[in-house]
Amino acid sequence: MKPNKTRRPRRFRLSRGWQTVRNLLLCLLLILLSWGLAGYPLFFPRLEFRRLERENLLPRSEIVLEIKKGTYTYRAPGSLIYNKRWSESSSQFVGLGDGYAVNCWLHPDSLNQSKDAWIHCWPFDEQEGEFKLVPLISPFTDWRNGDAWASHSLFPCNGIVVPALPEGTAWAELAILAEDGTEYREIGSLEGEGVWLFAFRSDTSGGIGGRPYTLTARDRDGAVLAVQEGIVPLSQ
Amino acid sequence: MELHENAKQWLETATKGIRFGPDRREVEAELREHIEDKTADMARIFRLEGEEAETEALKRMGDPAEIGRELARLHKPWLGYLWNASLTLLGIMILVCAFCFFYIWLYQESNGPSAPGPARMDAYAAMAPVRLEPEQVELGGYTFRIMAGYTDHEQITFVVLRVSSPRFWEPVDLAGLLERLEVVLDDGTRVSIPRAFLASTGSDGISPLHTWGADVVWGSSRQPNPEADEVDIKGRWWARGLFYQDINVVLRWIPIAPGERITLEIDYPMGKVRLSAVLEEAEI
Repeated sequence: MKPNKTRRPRRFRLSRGWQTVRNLLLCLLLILLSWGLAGYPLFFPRLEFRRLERENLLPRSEIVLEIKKGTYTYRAPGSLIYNKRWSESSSQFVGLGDGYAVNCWLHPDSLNQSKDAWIHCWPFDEQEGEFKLVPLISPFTDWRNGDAWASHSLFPCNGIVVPALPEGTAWAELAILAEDGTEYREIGSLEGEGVWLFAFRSDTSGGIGGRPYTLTARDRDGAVLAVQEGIVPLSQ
Repeated sequence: MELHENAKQWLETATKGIRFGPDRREVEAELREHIEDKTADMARIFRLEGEEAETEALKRMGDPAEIGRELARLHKPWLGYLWNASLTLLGIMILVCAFCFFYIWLYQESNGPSAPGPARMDAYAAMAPVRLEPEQVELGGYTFRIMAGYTDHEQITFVVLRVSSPRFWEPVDLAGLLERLEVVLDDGTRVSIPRAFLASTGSDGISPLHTWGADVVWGSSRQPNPEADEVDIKGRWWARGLFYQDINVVLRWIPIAPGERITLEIDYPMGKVRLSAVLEEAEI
């Protein structure tokens, strides 16, 4: 009689297909876990902006200005110090809603700190005049204290956006009278359709929140299209 | 049992069409066992010996080229590659998660814990029930609800506001909520959170807005103690689950009369959240 060849008894074992399914499900769980540990970051700054809108129960706005990560849109004349890290890791958005502008600053920092992002709503009915000012949030501009002026010497400038100037504007200037009596003038740069950005130096200890300003818009021939005086809005 | 050269040749021909290595080795081992069994049978039945028995066994096994084609058709390589890839991905994800946990542990070690002690949570559990109206408000996919409250009618009053949402990856923005929050009392007194508090940094170096919850402490014209308008964030505590955040809204030195209603108002651009509670007598 043939000797009974002993084979090792096989315990219950999944087939390779089911093992693959199991591995992929485990991967999915771990991906979700690591996504949560990292604070649920999204792939694109624009998606983060939209998420911040939803988290602040803001209706979806129309994005009129996007300062992309890695681009250095703020350019203050005479600025010698350039904070590379800030410019490489931050994104800014300005969105227009019904009667308000929304400004968002995203600074995806380290793991579990993805909430290092700020969004602020600027209602237009609190500003006089036809043209509205939207001070930009920056890491060194503490808008929460009601001031739109940077106090950090490492950061070269602050941004103020005017979402709409008259059609045909080729040159725009914003002059702000600071608390110490100094008048700061900056020429704006056209960033989008009718969207102008004014980058101010931050080498003053005084603030500009609530300070008077004069906004001048001229056409290509130098003719004045609009002049508006008002007060730089404070955050609410 | 060591196979002879022609058996090895047979095996190679039969399995060379299987492109996925682990499959090929497994099938080869299986076929080898069959050859060994059959060789033993040939030796036992026909009293053949050694290579002769093996040759007879191979003849009965069939044409190796034909078997090879059939095996190659059955064993598709992509399933094997996918299996390999899933194992690699699983390994990578385990490493990534381990790194995340290590990083967070390191961060907490260097920054100190931002969570409250268990004593505060016990106090939370011991809070008196409150009368609520309405029970909850839904806005923008979030549900707002007052969960608990406490008052000693003199020094301290607080209510716990819970904001929940099934979108766990989009918890309500605490900074935005605190900015818009106002506490309204029966006599029309409105108390909001000072900007200085929102911008402040706690003694542990962490901004209250960067933690998972915050005490909101402020006074008003009703406060009898002139020194009481200091912002105290030491008593901060938090509670956060996957689908909710609890925010402890604390009023200090604002006397609340028995039966007085406290209303939380959050004025969002999308709409206004309004929640009321009447705090009962309670002791912690």
